[in-house]
Amino acid sequence: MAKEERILSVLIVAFSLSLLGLFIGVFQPSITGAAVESTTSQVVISSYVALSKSTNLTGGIDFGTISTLPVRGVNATGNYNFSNNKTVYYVSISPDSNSAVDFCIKADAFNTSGGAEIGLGNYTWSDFAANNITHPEPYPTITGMSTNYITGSLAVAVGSDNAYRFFLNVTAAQPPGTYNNTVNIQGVPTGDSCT
Amino acid sequence: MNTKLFALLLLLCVVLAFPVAARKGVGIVWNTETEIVKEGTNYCIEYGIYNPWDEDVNALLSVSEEFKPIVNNEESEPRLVEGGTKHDRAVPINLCFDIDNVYQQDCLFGDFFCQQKCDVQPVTHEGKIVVMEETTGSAGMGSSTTLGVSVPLKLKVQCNAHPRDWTLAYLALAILLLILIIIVLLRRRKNKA
Repeated sequence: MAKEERILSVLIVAFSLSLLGLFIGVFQPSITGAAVESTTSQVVISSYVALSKSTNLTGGIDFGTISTLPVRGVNATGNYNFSNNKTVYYVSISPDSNSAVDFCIKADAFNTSGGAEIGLGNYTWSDFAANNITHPEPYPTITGMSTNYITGSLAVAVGSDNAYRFFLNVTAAQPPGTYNNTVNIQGVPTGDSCT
Repeated sequence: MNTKLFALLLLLCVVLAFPVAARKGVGIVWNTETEIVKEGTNYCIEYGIYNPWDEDVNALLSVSEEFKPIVNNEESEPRLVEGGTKHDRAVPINLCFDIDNVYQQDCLFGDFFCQQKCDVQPVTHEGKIVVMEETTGSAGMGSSTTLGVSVPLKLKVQCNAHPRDWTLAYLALAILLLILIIIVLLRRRKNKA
């Protein structure tokens, strides 16, 4: 009988210890704490940037009809406005922005529905944060389009425009057809990369 | 009379020669570029879309490829943002991410009795949040254009160091001891009877 009592006592002690261990295991994170009370300071700084395409850029980049091959440096139809020789392709940074903007550009394949393709190296462009007869640079510009973003103008100021000109080379062997693609222009806060 | 008519015609010519082109565009408001997130949790960040230009626009918020595997509720539906919406009245959009358990735990049996020492390099997801004007088809001939604003985002996954978890062992031991106590008590009762 006494032996049974001792066994029972040992079991109850062991059970209590295991419950204690379980309690500590479950509640350990909540019972540890610092004896020092602290308060936090917080400030949220917002950044905001808004961009808009010019009406002509919204309408797309058109090289018209080319009937004589080969040709080099064909101007997009909006490269030079007849009245002031400015390009009508530009992106505006809204005055309701608080960061200057770096611009990047990329394009997908310039091809026909039948699969004929003009290499993006023949589709060149220039951009500049001013707009006149010499800027953005006229042909020959050296930057060809790519399927990856290429950086253009940097640190264009809030409230300013970034202007574009586009040019096309077509070789003699290029099959006839209507060639289309999409040109993506992206703005990032200055100092950041597009990729 | 002729002077007035001439002035009116002149005014008409000026108005026709310089039409006011309504503009539309998109903007993004962001409050963070780096967030510390806990592994195994769902984490949301709020962005704002605005359009301070003249015309209403359908804007689309998307994430770069790097975030595609962990974003769980990307707002893929375009949102109408009225013209004249300044940044302080931006349309809020919540972007939520599922943060996986990225740090390997040291466990004794399967997923039991694990500890986390956090002695590895911190895991970081880096990518872009992009707001774009919804595309409305190609220009017909030549190139159609899209315009977007992208902002960087870095999610640093926090590692939660913890000692080996013996909870299950204590639980099993407690159950075993409770059974033994009940057996002993039942035997004692039987002996008394």
